[in-house]
Amino acid sequence: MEQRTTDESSDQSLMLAVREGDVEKLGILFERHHGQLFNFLFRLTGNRHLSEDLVQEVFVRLLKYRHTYRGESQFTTWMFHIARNARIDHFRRSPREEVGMEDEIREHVSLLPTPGERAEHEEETRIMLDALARLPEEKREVLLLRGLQGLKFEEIAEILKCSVNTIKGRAFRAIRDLQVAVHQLKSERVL
Amino acid sequence: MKCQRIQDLFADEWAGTLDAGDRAELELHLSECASCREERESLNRLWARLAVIPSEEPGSGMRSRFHAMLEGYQQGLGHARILPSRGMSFGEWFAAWSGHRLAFQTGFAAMLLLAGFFGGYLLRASRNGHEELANLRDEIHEMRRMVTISLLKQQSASERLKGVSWSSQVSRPDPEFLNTLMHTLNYDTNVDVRLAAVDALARFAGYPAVRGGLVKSLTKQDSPLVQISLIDLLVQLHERQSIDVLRQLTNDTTQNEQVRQRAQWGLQRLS
Repeated sequence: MEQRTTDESSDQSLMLAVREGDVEKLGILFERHHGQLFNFLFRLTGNRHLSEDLVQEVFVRLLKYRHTYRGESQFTTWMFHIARNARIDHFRRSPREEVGMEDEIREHVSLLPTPGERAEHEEETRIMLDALARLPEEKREVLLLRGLQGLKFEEIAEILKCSVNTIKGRAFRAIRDLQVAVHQLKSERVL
Repeated sequence: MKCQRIQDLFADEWAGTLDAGDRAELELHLSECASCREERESLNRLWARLAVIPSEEPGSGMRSRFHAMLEGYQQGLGHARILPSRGMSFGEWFAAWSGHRLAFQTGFAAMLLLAGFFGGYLLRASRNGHEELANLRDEIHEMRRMVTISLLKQQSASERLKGVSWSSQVSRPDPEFLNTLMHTLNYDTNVDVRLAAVDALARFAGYPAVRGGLVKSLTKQDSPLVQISLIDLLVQLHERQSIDVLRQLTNDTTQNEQVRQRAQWGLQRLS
């Protein structure tokens, strides 16, 4: 926990430097965060190329709107908030891409090697990804931010601009729905 | 009812906001109720599994695209000219900017054009006239760029078509401008707009990122008209990076026959 706090304050100081005109520092933030940002967007959209484009768009926006960064909240909270807006803007412009969710993820997982003792774990992961894909986007988003990215409910509330209680309720319903979807998928595969 | 109340506490437990009284109540109930105990374990296991979903590696091109964008920005090409006012939240400013920018930019562009003519007339006698005129030209160029991007993001296809057409007035594109145009080519729902974007991007084919983007776009298109138009452009540019994609199209029996023939023709020209 201590480590994370240190990293985050360092992110903040880098972004503050970017805000003051030292835009070169954005390169360090890119190296630190583009992977997690890509994974979040990829798990959310199921589209590799689109997720890469969106990561690029997020960093363009970080640069363009750097003057609005106040350094009061965690850098990652601000970054995920911008990522969310970029994704919403994208789907508003190109609604046709919302179909075909998760096909690419499934395809990718099926290419993983499946020998011996890893097979069961990979099957679990595959089921988990398929189950996630069945959830509505607002629930999937909370699960990814909390489960995959390890953000606190307070941070998720800040990103999604709603109350912590709303997020707690949504997270509970989301994980319950995920549980149901996992059970359904397992029984479908047995039949 | 008791079980429902206890399960409502699970979210507080995950959030770390369970007070001492609720925790004692939770623990007591769990020690007596196998069903709730099992439910909590099952949900906790799911959270744990979510955390260990394997990471995916993004494509290697992402890093070079980022650095190209940063470099362009540092050279002053991507300098944003609209600044937020003090005391305004990011959300408020961005929403306001998004909602009104087209009308604002169009009006402002017209105003700047008039100001440019008038300013040019007045500045003829001025010692610093050339420098100020250059600044005005830069401003007008920036406005054209922003109006183009704004039009490309409109709901109406005819507005987006106008945006593609406006792009011809931009002579020094920045990464954001090129990304928006490329995005239109890849994802616009209207075939006419995508076709116009092919022609518009041809003007910027001197940029390596654009040439790479055109090749990549060929793998994304589902309209034979756009595919053929892209093949023609890539052949015209002698873009040898496209050879692999053309070969794939030629061999892909699910593709439109005319597209396959055109890809075959392109291969012969480039090989």
